[in-house]
Amino acid sequence: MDGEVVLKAEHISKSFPGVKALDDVSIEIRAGEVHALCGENGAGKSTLLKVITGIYSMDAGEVSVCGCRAEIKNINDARACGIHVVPQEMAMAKHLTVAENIFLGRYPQTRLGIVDWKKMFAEAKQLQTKLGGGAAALNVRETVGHLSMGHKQLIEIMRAMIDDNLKVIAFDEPTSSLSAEETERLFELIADLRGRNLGIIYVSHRLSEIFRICDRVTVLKDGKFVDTRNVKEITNDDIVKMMVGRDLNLFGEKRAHSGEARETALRVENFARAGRYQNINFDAKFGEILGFYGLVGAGRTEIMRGIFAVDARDSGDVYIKGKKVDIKTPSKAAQMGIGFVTEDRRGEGLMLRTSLKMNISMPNLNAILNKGKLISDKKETQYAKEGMGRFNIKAQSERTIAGTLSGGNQQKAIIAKWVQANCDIIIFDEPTRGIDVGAKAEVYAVMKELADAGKCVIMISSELPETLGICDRIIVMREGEIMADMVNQHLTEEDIVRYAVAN
Amino acid sequence: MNTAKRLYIKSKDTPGIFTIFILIVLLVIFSNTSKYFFTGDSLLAILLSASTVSYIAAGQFMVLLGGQFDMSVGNVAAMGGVLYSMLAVKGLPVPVAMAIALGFGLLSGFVAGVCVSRFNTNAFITTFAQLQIYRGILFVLTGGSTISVNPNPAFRFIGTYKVFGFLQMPVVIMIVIFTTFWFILKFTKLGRAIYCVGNNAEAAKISGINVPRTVTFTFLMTGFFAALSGVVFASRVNSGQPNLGATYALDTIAASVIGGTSMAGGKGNIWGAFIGILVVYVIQNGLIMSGVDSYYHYIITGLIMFFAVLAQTEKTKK
Repeated sequence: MDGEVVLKAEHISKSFPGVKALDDVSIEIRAGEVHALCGENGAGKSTLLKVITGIYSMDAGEVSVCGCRAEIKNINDARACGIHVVPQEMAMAKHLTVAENIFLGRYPQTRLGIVDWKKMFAEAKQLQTKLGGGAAALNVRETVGHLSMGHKQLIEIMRAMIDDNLKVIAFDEPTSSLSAEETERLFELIADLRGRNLGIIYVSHRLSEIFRICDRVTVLKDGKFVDTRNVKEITNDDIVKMMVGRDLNLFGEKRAHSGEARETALRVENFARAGRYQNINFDAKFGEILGFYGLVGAGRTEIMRGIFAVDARDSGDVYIKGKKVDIKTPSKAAQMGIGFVTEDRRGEGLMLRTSLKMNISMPNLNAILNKGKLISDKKETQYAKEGMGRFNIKAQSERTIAGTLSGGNQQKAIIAKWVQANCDIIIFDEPTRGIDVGAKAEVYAVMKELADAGKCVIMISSELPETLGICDRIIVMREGEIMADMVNQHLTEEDIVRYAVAN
Repeated sequence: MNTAKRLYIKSKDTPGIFTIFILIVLLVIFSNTSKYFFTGDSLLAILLSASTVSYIAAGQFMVLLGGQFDMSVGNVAAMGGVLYSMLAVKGLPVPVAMAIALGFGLLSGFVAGVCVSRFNTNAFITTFAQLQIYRGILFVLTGGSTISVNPNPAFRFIGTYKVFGFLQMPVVIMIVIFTTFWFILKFTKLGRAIYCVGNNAEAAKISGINVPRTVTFTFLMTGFFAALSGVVFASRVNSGQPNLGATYALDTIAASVIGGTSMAGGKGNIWGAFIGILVVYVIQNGLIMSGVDSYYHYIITGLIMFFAVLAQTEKTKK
């Protein structure tokens, strides 16, 4: 606990046009501690990591490593100082093998300067054994293109592990895309790294994890330092209060329970796709929130993509309001009133280089046409403003470029675009992944409001508290099959996990 | 200095200003180096020489906006002109010859669009393959020589008729095309779909936009307007030229880039592309009028493209 200070960042300030991202923030990391970095989105956690690793230059402040002032101008300087970040969004060369990705930029060479493939694969294998579990199951000669997010993260972690002088390793939201099992292994690994006297920075929104594995926690709020505390001396609520400056009931009031009398919105029969999911039958009703819980890779997203005709399926029928429908393209699905808030906000949700206005109107251009069937700027502006107001999207105006918004506001923009399009069946795929506590509460409130208004809300989630907190009914999946379909009354976490995890 | 700096920063945000600025600088330079340059006649001549290529520039702009590009345009134009001329020489009525030539352009664009959008072929390779095929067909059809057409007023109408007695048809067509495209992009669902697909095809697909149809439409535009460009040019010079358009693909892409269009798609302004193509042709003609070897225009166009791209890159965050 009282190890030597390996990394010290003092009085760091950093401004972007119009925003003070960091304002006189200080943090110190000791050897052999896991130090949580906590705060809402936009609080400056990622910016702090980027300043420390030289991706952003700082306006003021000083970074020192092991007591010596360090001039870190880019990521290579950071590595030379022994600092490595495992980022949230993993950058992989997708056509290269696992081993090549681990050693990217630092391939082992023979004396002749030729890549030493034998050594590379051997060392990659060693790293795998060290990580164990999921990592050991990877084939180091496989290309990474089709690997899951969880596997890609393991590769990132192995990347950090090849440095001999590694002093500090920072994890940015590491568990957001891991399955429960992988998360357990990551925790073991982090404990192992701590045992080797490394300093570990752990950025996470999941407070339970902080209590589980962290020694100290530093909270940032709106770019300012709030406090650094020993985790043992504080409670969950203390952290939340420090983060948002107010008490927060994340899930709000429990909704009155849905009766069986409700009309069925969506029925799926005998859905199957080889290797992904099979024998899938379920109903979703108007006015309810239906949760799909399961571990990463249980096939939940794939089913929704099948319904929405983004991906093909082998067999199965879809019924909307009792009528069989043939959805061949996503545009057909949208016409049938199904909205799909995808998991990958940046890749599939938003046009990042375009205005909020154009993003919000995209699925429902008919709503912004004037009498002559032409796009009316006035109507579009009003349409977008309505959506922005409804979901409290914080942006300068409807012309703001979507990519400049925080994660939470981006998510709200995607929700706004479907709700404004009058969809009655809205599928949310991991809607709160990577967004802050305040934005989460707002997303939950929106989902409940939609269900109250009689819409059919389907939520895929890998987080138990939120699944239990807001769903009326919960379907649990494991390895491509539905294991349970339960009304959420008196259910406990154990009830659900039992179905989600193989014995 | 401060004003200049502010203008410079503003020009980064609005690419159109940068392009207009370049055009004005060029006009000022050339009116000093050539006393014939800044006269009504020679400016109209420049407009006329730019006009036929500008149709392709408009089409190319659409394709770029949708996130693709079309290398085949030059040879499609040559095919259009040669078909128009040959069929007219064979005695087919002019409207029929023209319809066949334009139909060829549409077909060519359709093939490229379907390959790129449905079968996910690479646009560069696909249209490059088309370019090669058409080059071969052109040689087979013409043996490499110009197809001369006997005097025929109907054949020459589209390229030489003067509206109100002074405005050349090709220039009128140019104005009509750009205005129509501007209208489509600003006011129609189709135009909006092109922006969306160019910005993020996956998001557009999930939002219910028909991505293959949108992309195919953009290629139909390059195909059709390239063929039209060839037809109008053939009509203007009274012959079909198999070697027409060797530089069209690059000229038109240059025009869009100079006009601030993003090569990644989804961002750009049709008037930027319009001014861009004028810039390319003002350089070509201005140099000739100033007595400079016209080969220098490649160098200057290249340099301007280079600076246009530099000036318009988004500020790097650091």
